[in-house]
Amino acid sequence: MTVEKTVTTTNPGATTTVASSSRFSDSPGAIAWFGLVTVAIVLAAAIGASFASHAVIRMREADRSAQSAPALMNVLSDAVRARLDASQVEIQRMLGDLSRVPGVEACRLTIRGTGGEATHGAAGARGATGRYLRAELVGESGGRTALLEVWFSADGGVSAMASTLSAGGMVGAGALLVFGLSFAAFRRAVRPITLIRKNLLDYQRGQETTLGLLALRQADNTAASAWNGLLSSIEEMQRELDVARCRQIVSDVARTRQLCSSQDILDALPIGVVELRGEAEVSYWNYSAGRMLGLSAESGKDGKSGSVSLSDPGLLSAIERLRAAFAPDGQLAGDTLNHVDHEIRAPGTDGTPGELLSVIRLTPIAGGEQRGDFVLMVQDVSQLIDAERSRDSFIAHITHELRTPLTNIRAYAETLNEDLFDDEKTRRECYNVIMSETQRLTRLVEGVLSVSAIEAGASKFERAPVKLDHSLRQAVQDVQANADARSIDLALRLPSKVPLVMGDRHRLHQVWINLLGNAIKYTPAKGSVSVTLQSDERVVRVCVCDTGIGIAPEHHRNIFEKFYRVEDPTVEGIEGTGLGLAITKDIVRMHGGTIGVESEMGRGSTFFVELPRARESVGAAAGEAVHGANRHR
Amino acid sequence: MARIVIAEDQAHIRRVLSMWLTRHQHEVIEAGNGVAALDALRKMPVDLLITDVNMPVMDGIELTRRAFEACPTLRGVFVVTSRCDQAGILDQLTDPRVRIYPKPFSPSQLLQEAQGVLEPAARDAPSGNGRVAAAASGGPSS
Repeated sequence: MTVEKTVTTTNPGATTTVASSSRFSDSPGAIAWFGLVTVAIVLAAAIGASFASHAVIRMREADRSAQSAPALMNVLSDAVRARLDASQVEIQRMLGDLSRVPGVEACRLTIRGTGGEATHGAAGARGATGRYLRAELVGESGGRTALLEVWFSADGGVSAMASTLSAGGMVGAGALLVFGLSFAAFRRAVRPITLIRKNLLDYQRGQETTLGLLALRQADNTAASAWNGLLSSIEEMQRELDVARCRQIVSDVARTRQLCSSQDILDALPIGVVELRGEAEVSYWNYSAGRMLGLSAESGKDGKSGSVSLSDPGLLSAIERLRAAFAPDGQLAGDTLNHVDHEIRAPGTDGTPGELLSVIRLTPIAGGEQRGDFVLMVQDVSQLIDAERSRDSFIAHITHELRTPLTNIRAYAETLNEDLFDDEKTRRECYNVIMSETQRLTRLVEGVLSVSAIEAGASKFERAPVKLDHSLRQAVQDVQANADARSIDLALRLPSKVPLVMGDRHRLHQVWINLLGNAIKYTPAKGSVSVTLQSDERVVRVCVCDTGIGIAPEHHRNIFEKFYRVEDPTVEGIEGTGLGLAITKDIVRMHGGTIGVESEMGRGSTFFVELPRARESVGAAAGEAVHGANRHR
Repeated sequence: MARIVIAEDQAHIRRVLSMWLTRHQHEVIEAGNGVAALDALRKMPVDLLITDVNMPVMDGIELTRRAFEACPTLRGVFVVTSRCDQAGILDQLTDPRVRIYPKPFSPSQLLQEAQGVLEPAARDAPSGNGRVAAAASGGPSS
């Protein structure tokens, strides 16, 4: 057997076509053998039929002779009667002749006459099946009478038929035997084919699903061996196909995953990535690029290539300038760097370039389809600019705030050292200013350090149950002297049960000190400052209310910014770093809370802080210590 | 003796400048913001304006721009500032009679500069540092 196989994999995941052909070249085949046997049987049957026909003919002839027996008897009777008077010798000879007449088996003549009765010839065999006729004869002379008995032969036809039948039977039996043997041989020869057919039908009906089970157990036949070999080949091919499919699936999954992953990463980038093909055709852009350059799938979509063409003239001219910087081979002319940058600025006043908005970097694609393929990276630097501006603003503010007390300290120190100002009053004034400005400088530095520490990260932020009533009492006690000095009534009103909050005790203390300090600072003498606390199931709300000068609504949002100070004649001369509320807001935000202000010019302000309540379990664990605290008022 | 207007929102600085100038027989008019200073310039002849930059209502730059028009007798303007962008301020104030002095400054040196502007003999002598004076680096004069 030879097996030719071809495995053709068209594409991943698609059907794999297996073309297989086989042929049996060394089997004479069961069919040829069966043909020979059939021919032999036909010949044997023909021979048997000829024998049978011959016997039938002979039997018919015998029948005809039997039917002619009376006529023959008459002939014989006439012949014997004519010679009845002859001598015994002649009679014996005559009987002998009669016995040889065809169809006569035996004949006997009994002569009754003068000398008694004489019998000539012999009787037929007892039990013979032939016909028996007898005739009484009277001699022509009248002297003798005789009885002629003739046994006609009926055995000739019967025996011929019997022998014919037996010969035909033997031939038939032999032919049957040969046929039986041939059939057995044929059946043995075609049995594998039958089993193969049965297995194939089972496989087609789904009763068998494994090719291995279709193999023939007794491979004692060439066809069976060929079949089993074919199955093995198919199984081998199937295994190879499965492996190839698995590899393809794994490859597809890996490639898909890689693509998804790359796509997600690119879309998550804050930098815009654009792939440029040809002149200004964008074949790919990520989310940031779409946002910054205004690219969308709907705008300028080219149905054929699925790409978008850039239309912004400013951007196109920038790309053209960048492209011109590259030599035809994609290398940057006269420079080792393989990219060029371009800045996009907002339109400024009087035609001058304005604020830097984004930076574009153009890099040729190595191995691109054509020479004009570039990767365009767009970085939105507005946030960087904002951060830089914020940092510059902070430095400018802090420098300004530091220089003011430094100026005072230097000027008054120089005055103190000047002989022109040697009166006691001036000297004391100089000393007081130097001392107060030194304290102001110290507070400013502490404030800046606080801002820096808070902005550096919340890692130093402790989280522990804080008893707010205790914290508020402590703060009120700390600013009480200041309030008394300005004749301001300071009140703390707490409910009987104050829930705990999770937070940093020292930071929260700083919040209350800042709010109370501002309230006292911006409240005229004889005014009042009060602290109240309310809570619900979610938050604890602390209000610091004063009867001070108030804050105009347009400043409400900005007063929590660093170094923001209301420029108003009413607050002129009131010292402040401009950092207190910014620090306070940051601390509250770190605690997951909110801070706000309600104010009316000339009537006072209320700053409220809302902090999330600690869980009940925390409150139960730390609740006992609250009861021992002293009430401030 | 000259009449000098001091525009400064920080009371301590106004006070110390006033002390030094008064002690050297100058007449000093103090203003807490630019508007008050401009009013003073319009009302009377003034020889010198010493002004801060960051002030409420009207800042020192705007005040300086209007000062010479408001007061024809004005011989010079000293801008004292704690701002970092002094070059930017200088760009906005192109009049050669304007000088910039950074804070912290030395009162004695500022007085010296003022006398240089106010006295015709001293006006011919260059101050040495151009229009941005290094008042902070100078020591007190006796």
